[in-house]
Amino acid sequence: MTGPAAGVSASVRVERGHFTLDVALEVPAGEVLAVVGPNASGKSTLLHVVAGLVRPTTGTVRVGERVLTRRSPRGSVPDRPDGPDLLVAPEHRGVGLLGQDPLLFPHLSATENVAFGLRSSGMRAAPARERAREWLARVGLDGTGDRRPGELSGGQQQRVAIARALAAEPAVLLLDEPLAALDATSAPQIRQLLAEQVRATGTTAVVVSHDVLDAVVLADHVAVLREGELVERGRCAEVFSAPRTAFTAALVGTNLLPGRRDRAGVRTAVGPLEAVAPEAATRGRPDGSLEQPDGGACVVRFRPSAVELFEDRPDGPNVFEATVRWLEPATGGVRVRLAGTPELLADLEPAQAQGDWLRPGGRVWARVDPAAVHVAAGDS
Amino acid sequence: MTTDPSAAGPPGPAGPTPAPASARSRGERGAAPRPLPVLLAVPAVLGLVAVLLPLVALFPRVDWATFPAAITSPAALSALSLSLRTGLAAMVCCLVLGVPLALYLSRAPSRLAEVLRIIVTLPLVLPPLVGGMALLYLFGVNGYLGQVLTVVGITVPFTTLAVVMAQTFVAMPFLVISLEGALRTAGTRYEYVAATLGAGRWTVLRRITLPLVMPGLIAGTVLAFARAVGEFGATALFAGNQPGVTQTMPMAIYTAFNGAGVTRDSALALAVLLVVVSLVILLVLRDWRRREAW
Repeated sequence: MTGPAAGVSASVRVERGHFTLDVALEVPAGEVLAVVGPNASGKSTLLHVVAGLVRPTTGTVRVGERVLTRRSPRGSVPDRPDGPDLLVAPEHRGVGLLGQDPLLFPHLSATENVAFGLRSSGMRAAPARERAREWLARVGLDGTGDRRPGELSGGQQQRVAIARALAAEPAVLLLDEPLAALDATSAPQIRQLLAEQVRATGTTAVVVSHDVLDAVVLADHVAVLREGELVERGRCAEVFSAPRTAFTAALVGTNLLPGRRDRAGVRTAVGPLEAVAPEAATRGRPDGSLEQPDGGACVVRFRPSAVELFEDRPDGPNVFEATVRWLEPATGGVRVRLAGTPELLADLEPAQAQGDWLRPGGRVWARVDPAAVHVAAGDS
Repeated sequence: MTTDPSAAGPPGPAGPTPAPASARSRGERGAAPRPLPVLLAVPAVLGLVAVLLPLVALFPRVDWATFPAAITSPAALSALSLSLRTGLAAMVCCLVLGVPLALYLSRAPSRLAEVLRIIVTLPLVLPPLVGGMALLYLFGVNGYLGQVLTVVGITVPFTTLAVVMAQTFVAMPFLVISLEGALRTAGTRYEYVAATLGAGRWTVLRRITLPLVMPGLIAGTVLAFARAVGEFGATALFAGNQPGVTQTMPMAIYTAFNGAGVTRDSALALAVLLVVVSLVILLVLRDWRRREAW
């Protein structure tokens, strides 16, 4: 299992009843890719295919130059140009897997758990235990090596599981919601620990999560998965600060509206919206006029804090009427969800959120600050 | 010895049980049990008495002065030693054949597992005499396999080997059913983790699967041994009752009541010994399983 980090590439299709996962992704050696998406978007299935626990309907999985999984479409010619079907067993893939449940072997001590991978690759007991102790110290568990998993807290167990996964020196490490089962106090610490250790070992990793924070802290690149398809990908900073799909926008908690350009600004589902600086659209046009004045598809993006709500129609541009869906707590105030497709968010200061008029089902007036409206080319 | 598999309780949670299940059972244990209809107590107590009284009644009949001599008489010692040796041999046979069978059974698709489980359980439900008859018709001098073996010069019936075969036949279900339950409870999640850490199939079996079900395995092994030592019906038909060769303890006790071989005093002493040994086995097993439940 030892060896330099290798890149991983997967191009697979898994059909299961009504659900289809159809994904192609590539992670260069030593980099970390986050795959984010809601539950049942196919994230875990994707990891299980890479780990060799699930055979795809069709597709290929490669680690470095080595093909680990290959399945050609049924009915294709017998002498396939890309070689015969193949499914390398999980234990021969050099692909580690760490899930939300630590799944420490209950009959082995913490040290023996961490040493397990090393012993499996043929290392003798004494040096393996020595390495395991070093790893336990690295994850902040010095001196707990003799304890059984049942004697450790949930956070400590996950630390042992991280040490166990990394000590085996996998070519690729798959992280399946590694922090989802932890409480609010231990999750940030362990997220940090995981990020540090994955970087320190230079391990190529794919981390799957429904939490944008995991992606930002752990990964260099992100791919957004929706209903079995990748809808967006790129560097974390770019994708999350300027999402191109309403889906990603909802994930990071910003507003995104599809629209068409016209002379005055952008026509959207809530009416015309003006933007002071239509960023992407002004490229190459010093006068600030739009590249495709009429009918060009674009997306409009604005933060929830750029939206104000009023009981009566206010003055100014970018005003539209909307129905309140519900209210929820937000950092330093109240977040209002407005009904519509896509749903829009407005963050209000507590003082603004007073009054009977702001209640689920009520009609309100919304105003968006033109200076906070960003316009980008492309379809949502 | 009884042929009821639930005599020592079901295999129980041998491996780690899922958290919700254990939480639920904790909750039930904390609450006061729901009262039952009072009238039910009468048959319940009678049932307990029906099991306990005959066994207790054995003890006053024992002549304790001659007890040591009775269980150390040559005939008794010979029966005791034969029982131990054949019981252990049958236990090893059950392990060698039963553990792989239980492993495959626990991984079989549910339909197939259902059928296989019924087949495996059959010797447990059948009267042992029927098992002995079946073995005799297969391995007897005129039996299907017996004829073949006779040509090679091997005779199975009425040998010590026949005793071991009869005991294995009746005892195997105890091991297989108990172990399969433990394997199903333990599940295969840890095995997948072990595989992603680079462990091959044999390593996973040796270091993960079997250690995880060790309580179930030990319980099944002890039950199988106990059942083998108590075997009478199949042995009587298939192996006979020759002192030193096929006369195990149960056979010796039976013979004593027909006025041959060991004395009645010895038979009674041996019977009491069997009761005590069985009790100790069950107590130790219970204690050990409680300690090992992680």
